[in-house]
Amino acid sequence: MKEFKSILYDQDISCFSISCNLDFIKDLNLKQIIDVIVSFGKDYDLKEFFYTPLEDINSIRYRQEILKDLQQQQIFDVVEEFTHGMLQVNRYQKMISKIDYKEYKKIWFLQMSIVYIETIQSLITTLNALDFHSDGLKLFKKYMQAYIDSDFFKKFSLEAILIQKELDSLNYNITIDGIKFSVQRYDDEEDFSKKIKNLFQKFEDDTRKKHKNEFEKNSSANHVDAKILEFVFKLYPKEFLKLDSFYQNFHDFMDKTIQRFSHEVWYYLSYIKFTKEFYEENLSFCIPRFSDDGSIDVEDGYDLSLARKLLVEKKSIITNSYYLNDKERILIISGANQGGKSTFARMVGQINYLASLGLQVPAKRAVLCLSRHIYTHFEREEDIKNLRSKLQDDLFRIHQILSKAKQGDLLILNEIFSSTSLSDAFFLSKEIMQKIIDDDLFCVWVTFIEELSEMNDKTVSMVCEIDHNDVKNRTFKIVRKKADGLAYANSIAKKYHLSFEQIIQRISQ
Amino acid sequence: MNVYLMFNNRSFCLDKQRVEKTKDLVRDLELETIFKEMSKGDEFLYEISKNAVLQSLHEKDEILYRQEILKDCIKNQNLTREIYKLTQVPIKKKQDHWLSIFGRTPSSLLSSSVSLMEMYLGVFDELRILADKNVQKLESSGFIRLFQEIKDELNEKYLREIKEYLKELKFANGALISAKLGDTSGSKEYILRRDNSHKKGWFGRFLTLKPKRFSHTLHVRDDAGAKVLRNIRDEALNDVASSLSQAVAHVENFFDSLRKEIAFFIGCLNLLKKLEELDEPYCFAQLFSQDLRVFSASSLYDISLSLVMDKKIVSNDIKADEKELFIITGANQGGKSTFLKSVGLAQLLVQCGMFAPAKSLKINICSALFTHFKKEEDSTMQSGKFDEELKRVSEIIDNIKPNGMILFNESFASTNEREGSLISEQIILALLQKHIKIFFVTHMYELANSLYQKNLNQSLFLRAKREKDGLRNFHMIESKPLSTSFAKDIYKEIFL
Repeated sequence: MKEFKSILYDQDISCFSISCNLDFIKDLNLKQIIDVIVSFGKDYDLKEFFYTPLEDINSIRYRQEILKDLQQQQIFDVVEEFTHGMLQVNRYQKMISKIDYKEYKKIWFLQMSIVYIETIQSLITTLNALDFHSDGLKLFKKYMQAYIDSDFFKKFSLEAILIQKELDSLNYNITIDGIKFSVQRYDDEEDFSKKIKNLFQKFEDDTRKKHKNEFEKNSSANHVDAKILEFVFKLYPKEFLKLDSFYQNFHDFMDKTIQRFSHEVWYYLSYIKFTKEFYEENLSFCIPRFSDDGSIDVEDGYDLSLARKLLVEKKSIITNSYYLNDKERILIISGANQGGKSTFARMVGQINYLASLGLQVPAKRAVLCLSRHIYTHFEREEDIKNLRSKLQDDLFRIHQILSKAKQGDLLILNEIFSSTSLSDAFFLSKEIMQKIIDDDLFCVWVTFIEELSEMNDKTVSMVCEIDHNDVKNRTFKIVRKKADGLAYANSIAKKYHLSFEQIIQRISQ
Repeated sequence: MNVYLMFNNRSFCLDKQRVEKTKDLVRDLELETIFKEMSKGDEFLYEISKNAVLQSLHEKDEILYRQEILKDCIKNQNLTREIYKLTQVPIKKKQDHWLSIFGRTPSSLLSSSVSLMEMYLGVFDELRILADKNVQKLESSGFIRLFQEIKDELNEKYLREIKEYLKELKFANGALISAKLGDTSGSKEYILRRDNSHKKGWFGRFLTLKPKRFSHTLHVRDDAGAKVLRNIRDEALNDVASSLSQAVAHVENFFDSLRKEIAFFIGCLNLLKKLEELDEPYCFAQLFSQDLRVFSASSLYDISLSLVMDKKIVSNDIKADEKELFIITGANQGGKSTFLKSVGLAQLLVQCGMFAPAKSLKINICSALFTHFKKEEDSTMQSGKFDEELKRVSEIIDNIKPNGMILFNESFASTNEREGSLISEQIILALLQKHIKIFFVTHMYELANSLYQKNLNQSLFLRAKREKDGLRNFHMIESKPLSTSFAKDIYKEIFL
């Protein structure tokens, strides 16, 4: 077995390049999704990881396996707990480097050491009880076991705990009278707050909302607290001598690999937290499988950005399925306005992208053929100059895309040429279609030109489904079906529900 | 400690939503005149009276409980007004205290809580004396329980103990705070301690060795340092401040409740006084449960009209048990609306525990009272008006339950009579099936006659009778509906 280095990469990082193709990130609403995901781990700098898709299937599987392990609540909790501890250690480290008072430096150093030791120890005890299936976490466990058994860690923790115990037992009194204060040893004075609480017990009211007083805690170092510490050091000189030598001996005790793990693992933790609110609404996520033959089969997928918006608004979310067999490469989406076509196209792109990050995808089940690059061309309404220059721009962009795209890449076209005459659009579309077929690209093509769906054996037609009982009602279902160009009518206004039967029904409710 | 004069198991609260929802009721029954009489220009009394009248009770026991207390108040008017006066004392100081409660530090909260508490203790002393003096005279279970609780909970020994501690909480010699090492600021677990001096006599204090002690005084212009000290002090005082301010809030709540609940009875006494001046009768109604249909009254009058006219007005006698549908027809200005209002007002006042505007009254409790009165305004927009009427009915249907009650006044007259009658009849029959008590004042002969022909057991047809002498003597008599159509006559006149 290899030695543990990173929970994100099974190889050296140098062979990965950061993707910076902003067009598809924007068109697929991935930026807003990633912003939400990283907000679940806002103590860590995670953005870069989510903009670095993997090209190697084995690297993806390395992550998928780890994600699967971490999805178990027990494992998740253990790891999260651990990172919280490490975060606290990091904060101490920063604080100590900034402070000048020597009493503070020492007290904080001891506190930091204790947190570090406790964090490591509690991780070890819990790790032993857990079973991992992923290589990544197995290796990490092995690494941690070796670390805790090392002589260094043993000596370090023993000393820290001993000193901590002694200092913990110190009690002192501070008397505050205006701007004057004094410090002395504690002499068993009774707790005044408890006394008062007992006295007024009968006035306590469980139904009343407790008023929260606002007061500031002195959270950072300051000259007054430093003075108090100085007095305490003077009250107890023997105890503080030991602290001094501990501070000198263990100046640089942190393990770099462990530190790195506690940062990187938040890639998974933040994503799992992100998916949780979807699970709560019975929306599925799944770890995708990859097909060898180029076939694709996704069941009940959905657009994450829209789904999140609807979740917030408490509206229900429509899922859609799609598949491509054998030679099929191109999904032609047509149908009603605002029937969910763009949403569908986005969903396909998002699923592919998230799969290449080694994450779960928003679907009940997904078999994918991984596209290493995604290219999008969405209708841009903002920059209409004149029709000719717009068409020029469109074609220019498509040309750029087609010159870069390689076999198996995913191309998403949304309502291109919509402001061109039908015959022009038809002609251009046919030309582009041929290029897509020649390059053997996967493609999702939202268009009003239904004829494209029957051009050859590579194309599959999908249309917006209509509720025939209530044509006004949009189903947002996109189904694999011949394009039929139905017209959509609107329905009738409602009346006042005041017939005999209606009243009877309404009052009994 | 609870007041519990309005209900035997909970405190009375203002309910803005309820008041908002009953706007139609207030307007249609002209309730404002009653609220005004109850409050005599006092805003607080007005608010309470309005809320209490509009928050109807729906259980017989609840109503009887309140009636009993009101009877006690009527018998002991001076005591009632004295209690009310006691609850006025603390208001001003209280407002100053709570005005700035948000964003307050424990230190300032504590010191203002201490002084407030000291003031309340004084009021409690007076209240207890009042209770001791009067408990014998009272008969209602609510008053007896309240006075007993005050006696039990706030005995003199307890009050004295509190006073002593309050003095210590002023910290004449500085606040003693214990701490341990820890936290990023250096120390943690600040706990307010009680100086040991109360444990030892002066001799003990004299013998104790002075412990090792380090002191420091901040520079007078060291604001940052002073703030740190304040923060430590605040943290240590937080629990005490919370306990004490909570106790103050509780005591305050008690006085607040007492003030609110007594206010309702003060309102009733004010109204009663006016009725006595006008020589109008009043009585406590005999109550029947929701599933029964009882309605018998003698000298039932429209109390709001009486207040507006400022004189004794005409009343009606009615005996209509087991009736659920009242169709009221008759001449214009024959007193139909007045009768309808007197029915609604009686129902509403009875269901808030008050006396009823009648010499005697037997009545069943209803689950909720609604009014659907013709709106005088915007008479120009005929079609819009009909829509508006239907919308209002629809809203009532949304809110009403079986055993509810609706007063219709000239409803659906904004469309032609055929359409209006058809719709009205449909609505009435559906409501009857759901056991809703209906009073329907109408001009529509089609409707009245059609219902009359149905010969329903639970229906009663009343007609406003105009005396021959031309003076309107508004009396309701039981009578089948009369056609007011003149068309035939005119036809005959012209053609025959």
